[in-house]
Amino acid sequence: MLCQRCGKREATTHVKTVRGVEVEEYSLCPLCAHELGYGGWGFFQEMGAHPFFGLSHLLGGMLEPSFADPVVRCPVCGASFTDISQSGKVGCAKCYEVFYDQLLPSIQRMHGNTRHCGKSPVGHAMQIVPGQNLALAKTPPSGQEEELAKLEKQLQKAIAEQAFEQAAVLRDAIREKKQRKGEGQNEKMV
Amino acid sequence: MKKWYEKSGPQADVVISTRVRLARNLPDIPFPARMTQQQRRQMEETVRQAVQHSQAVLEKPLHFEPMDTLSQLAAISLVERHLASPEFITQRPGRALFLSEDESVSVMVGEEDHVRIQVMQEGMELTQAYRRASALDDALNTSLHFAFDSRLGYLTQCPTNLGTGLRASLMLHLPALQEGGVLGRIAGDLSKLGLTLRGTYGEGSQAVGALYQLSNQVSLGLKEEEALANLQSIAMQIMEQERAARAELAQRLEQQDRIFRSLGILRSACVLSSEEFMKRISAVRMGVSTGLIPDISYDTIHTLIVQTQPATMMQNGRIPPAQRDALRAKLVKEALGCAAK
Repeated sequence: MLCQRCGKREATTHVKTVRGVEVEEYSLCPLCAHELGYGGWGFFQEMGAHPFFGLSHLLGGMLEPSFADPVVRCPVCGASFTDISQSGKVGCAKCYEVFYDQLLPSIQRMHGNTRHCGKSPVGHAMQIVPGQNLALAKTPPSGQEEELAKLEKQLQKAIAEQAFEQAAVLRDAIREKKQRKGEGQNEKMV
Repeated sequence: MKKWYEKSGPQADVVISTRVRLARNLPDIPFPARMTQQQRRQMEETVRQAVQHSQAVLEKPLHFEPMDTLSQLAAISLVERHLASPEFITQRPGRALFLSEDESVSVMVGEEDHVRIQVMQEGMELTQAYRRASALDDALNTSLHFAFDSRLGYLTQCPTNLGTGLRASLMLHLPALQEGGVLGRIAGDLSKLGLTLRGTYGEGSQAVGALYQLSNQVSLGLKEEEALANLQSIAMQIMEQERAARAELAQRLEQQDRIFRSLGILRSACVLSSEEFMKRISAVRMGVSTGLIPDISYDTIHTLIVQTQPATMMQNGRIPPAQRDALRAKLVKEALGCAAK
């Protein structure tokens, strides 16, 4: 199908929008979609069109069928990386684990960063014991506070010595500990 | 009870409203684009139970809006009131909306992500709106497990929302900067700072009545507070530029004429299209902010803007366009004071 705006290029983006009291649908080519502000997917489309991406896979399959890698699919939703790059949509949470290395370059380009440093979930789902309708309370392991304090001291030292790589490792360890501790407390509260 | 959009808040001369949205997903169900009908029902049921379960600790009770049975007009009205996205209402079966009575808090279920928490507030209230959204997130999180990765943060269907899943937007009234033709340049500069300036109804929409949405683009690698502080500081700079430009324009006779002429038309017209109304009310709003029109409040303007949207006007039944424009003119005259009997 050709783009409804320019009538020249193949339409790859389908847009639904509200005008007045009617819902309208358009099919647009990547360029027109970008110009009209339906952005955010360009990174993936670039990758899909990359000669080393689809094509090499295909050629590899034709030339040496016995050695060709089978298409990797997510065990939860069945999406392949091609599905993701063509739609611009990740299939499910598990896909981020399965295709982590392939997704990372586009994530880096989108955000200029690949490391989360915001809020973490406060707690997990309550664990209901069948028949009892009660939540299990988990006590956080003892000595956690001291361990945290020790790590934090090491982090200060690493920063003072400008050993940033070590500092990053320590920072992550502290965050993980704090998170685990938070979870423990939440489960206890329940 | 007054709805959030019938009031005005801090920095009301430029900032109409604040919107904060958090994207969350369930870990073991595919994201909406890959869900089966059965999984969609499972998602709706799981989230509905979590909302019911959290009602006691919520700041405002949320009631369930069944999307399947909603009329087309009522659905479009939700978009006009910025309570749901155009995308959300185009395919309603298997989707659900939870709404507080003052319409400031909503939860969209099954849109681009499984759960989208949204808080709207009048004026510039980024911190407060975020706190409220985050509290609702925490409340839901006690009975829902959200997909989270320690490296990538909250996992979302579109990787542009990874990390905090936070999109904060300010609805800005920028008639003077629009008049000066500098918004294109400003929008270009903003994209380099990880922010974006869009039309009135978000992605891909045109600006109506010089209303623009300024929002953050980057959600990974920044704390929520940092993203909000960035947005606020850039918004303050744009506001200063807008105010300076307005003050200068307001000195000019042809601009004063345009403002008072617009007020005259709104107070006298018998037929008003939505486009004309938005154009005229934008000029009047600028007149209010520059002190040229002292007797009209922002609350009145904000209420009118929502009340006169086509689908919102037809909540009680479809009206032909000509009658709709007459009804709009009547509503406007009643609110702004009629020029002649």
